[in-house]
Amino acid sequence: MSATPSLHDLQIWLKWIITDPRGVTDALSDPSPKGERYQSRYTQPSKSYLEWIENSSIKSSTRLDIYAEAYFSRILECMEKDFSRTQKAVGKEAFTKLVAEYLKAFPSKFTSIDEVGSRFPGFISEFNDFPINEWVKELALFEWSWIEAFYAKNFSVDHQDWRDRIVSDEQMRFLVHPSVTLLKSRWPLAKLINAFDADKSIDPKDFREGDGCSLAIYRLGDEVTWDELDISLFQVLQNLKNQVPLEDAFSQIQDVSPDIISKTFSRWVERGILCGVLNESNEVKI
Amino acid sequence: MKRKNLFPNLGIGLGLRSPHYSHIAQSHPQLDWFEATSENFMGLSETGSGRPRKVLESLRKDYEIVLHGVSLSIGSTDELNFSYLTKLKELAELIQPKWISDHLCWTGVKGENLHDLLPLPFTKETFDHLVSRIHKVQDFLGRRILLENVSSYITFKHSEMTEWDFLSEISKSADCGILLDINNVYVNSVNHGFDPVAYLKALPSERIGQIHLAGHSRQGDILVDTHDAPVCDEVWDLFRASVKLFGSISTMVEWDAKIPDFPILRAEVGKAEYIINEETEVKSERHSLLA
Repeated sequence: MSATPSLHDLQIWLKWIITDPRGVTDALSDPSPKGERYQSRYTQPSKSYLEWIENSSIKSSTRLDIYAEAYFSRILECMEKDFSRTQKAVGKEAFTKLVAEYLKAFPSKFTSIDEVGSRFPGFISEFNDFPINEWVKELALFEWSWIEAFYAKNFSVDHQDWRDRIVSDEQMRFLVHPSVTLLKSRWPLAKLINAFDADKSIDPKDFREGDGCSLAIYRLGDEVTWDELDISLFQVLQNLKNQVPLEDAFSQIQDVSPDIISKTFSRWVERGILCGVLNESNEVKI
Repeated sequence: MKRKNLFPNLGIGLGLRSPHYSHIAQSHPQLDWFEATSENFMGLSETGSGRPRKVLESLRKDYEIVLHGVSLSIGSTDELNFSYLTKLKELAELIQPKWISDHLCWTGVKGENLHDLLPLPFTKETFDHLVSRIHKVQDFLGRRILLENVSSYITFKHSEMTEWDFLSEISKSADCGILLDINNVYVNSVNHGFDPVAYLKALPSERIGQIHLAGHSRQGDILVDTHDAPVCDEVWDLFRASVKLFGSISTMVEWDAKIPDFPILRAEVGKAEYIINEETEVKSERHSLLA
């Protein structure tokens, strides 16, 4: 038997055997394969420490398998929850493969498992090992924006107190709620999301590039929700988010009736999308 | 002589899980406390803590809270993660939990997190490593923490102590508490072949601040700590043995997968309440007879 492993060396070895994408048995039988894209994930970091694991009535590889399976299935389960529509769009099997590839490129460095998927939209936008519809990439981005809105900072709102002053000051600048994410898609994403949420089947031919839409994702009370916006109003909200004064924010708006503008603005206030007024020092004055 | 427990007895509690948020807010179930998973309320790196933090703040008005982490990785050979500890401390300052706990394990190394509670060899090297780090964490948080015994599917040939001796000695040397998971003791006793009651008898009762109960599943010849089923009879028996040994300690049930409706979970922890009442009544009857 070799020298007793240090705690550090043992942990490095266990990390490798538990996370090797091939599984424990294959990894043990070929600890230094050639030609893998993420070579370090497939390569035993030092000598084997398998002999230091008790190997009584149940084989040590069988015991290690439990950790390996738990590692992947726990993260997969979390990402299936966070990217449920993306999973529906690509199918269960392809999604599982995507997550496996993703973990090779971006193993978790987060203390919260809820954050593991943060780079997934970016990863699949670059992914080309097998074909994925272009709109799926934007769907994944939408779903991660949803998670970010869920965790965005809390901000209490008192609408009535400042609503009257909005009309009187065209230089007024607003605080847009920290949960608000604006997403402009080249695809009819709103139609897709509604179809997925209603469990309707999707025919990709019905969704053409160029039939784009603009979405605002935000938290309303305790729940995350989203609105589809006219492109002009989307630009206004983008301006307000960038703290552009009210008058300038609306200056480029075209082809939208004053009535719709007024109704939309009221909706933003009522729903807490606009949640405060900023003073000269960019502090919130409600 | 039996020493006084270092932690107050909070009574009967449950693990706080998101499917039950609305039910708890609306019906204010009769319970003494909730255990919240720290990381669920610490937010994402680049955002706030959002809705979960709001829920916890609101719940805190009606119930005692304890914080239970899964990513302290106290046994890792990586540096302690002070950015994580800072967020944990901020959360604790806001929520004022009765205590903070985590696991006697490691969860990752070289900056990667495997999101699992991985076992440690029970060696002198591990012992010294843990004691030093527990002291640092307790100094940073300004409070005594509790560490939980974990389920394991492997053991190491170079371990120099039994798990129960290791846990006991760590708690004494680092001056920390023990979160005793009865299910994990049972699971390990089957997986590694030891007497679970001998395990309990070896522990310093005054350091056991909290008890976990949970369900497990079987994969071939191995029991796996899946938290997806009711507590089994063998674990209830072991829990009863623990009450006989340690008296009444803050006790809760964990259920993390295939989570049932809240009333089912409440009924499950009600069984623990029943056993505690039964055993403590028997004890006081004996005392009065002797008197």
